[in-house]
Amino acid sequence: MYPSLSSGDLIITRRTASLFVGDVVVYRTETVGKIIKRIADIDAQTVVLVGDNPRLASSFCGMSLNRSAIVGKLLIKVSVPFSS
Amino acid sequence: MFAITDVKAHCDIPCKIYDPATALIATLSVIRLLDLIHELGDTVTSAADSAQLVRLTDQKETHAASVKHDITTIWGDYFKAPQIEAYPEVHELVHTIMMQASKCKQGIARENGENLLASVNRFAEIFWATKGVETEKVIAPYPPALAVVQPVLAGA
Repeated sequence: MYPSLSSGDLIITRRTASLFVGDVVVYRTETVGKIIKRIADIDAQTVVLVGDNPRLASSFCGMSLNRSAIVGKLLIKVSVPFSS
Repeated sequence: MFAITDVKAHCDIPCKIYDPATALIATLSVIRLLDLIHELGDTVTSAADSAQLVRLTDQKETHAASVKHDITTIWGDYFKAPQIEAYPEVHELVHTIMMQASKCKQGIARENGENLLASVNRFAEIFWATKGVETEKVIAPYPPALAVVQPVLAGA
């Protein structure tokens, strides 16, 4: 998610149904746990996620996922100096 | 009241580097190894030739397995709904490649390797087409000197 987020950043999220394209969300996966990505597309049932870092690729991105697995929406980010 | 947990930015591989070239090279290797096995002849009597046959067979297994691995990685990790909708044949094609690679592992018929190459070439054509990259068929400059699909690259 670089440059929006860096390893070690602290974030505060909020559970909300008010989700829009461009929002950064924490998403619960069955295989790798919670991940954080940006919403590329969303409707009532599904969401498509995308990472901010164009140099990296995730198999969770670019495909239709279950919207109900969104844990929360990013509200606040705190970058911790020298954390990474 | 609240909990701090880790979340991951998750990536599968760095740099989005997907390229069927590794599968094509492995396929050419399988065909080359089939040729070398045939060059040993039907009767292998010396210890040296026996050792060579074992080595060639082992390498044929390894490269056929590499074809399967490289193709399924691109198919599973790169191909998403938009690419599959554009090329719905890709699922059957990948399954065919899996079976053809298995045939190359099981036997020594060169035809199996040539069939595998045709399918992997088609997979390469589809892969590059999904990225909007033009392809061309060129003859590999090493044995078995067969045609492979490669992207038309810009000069540096």
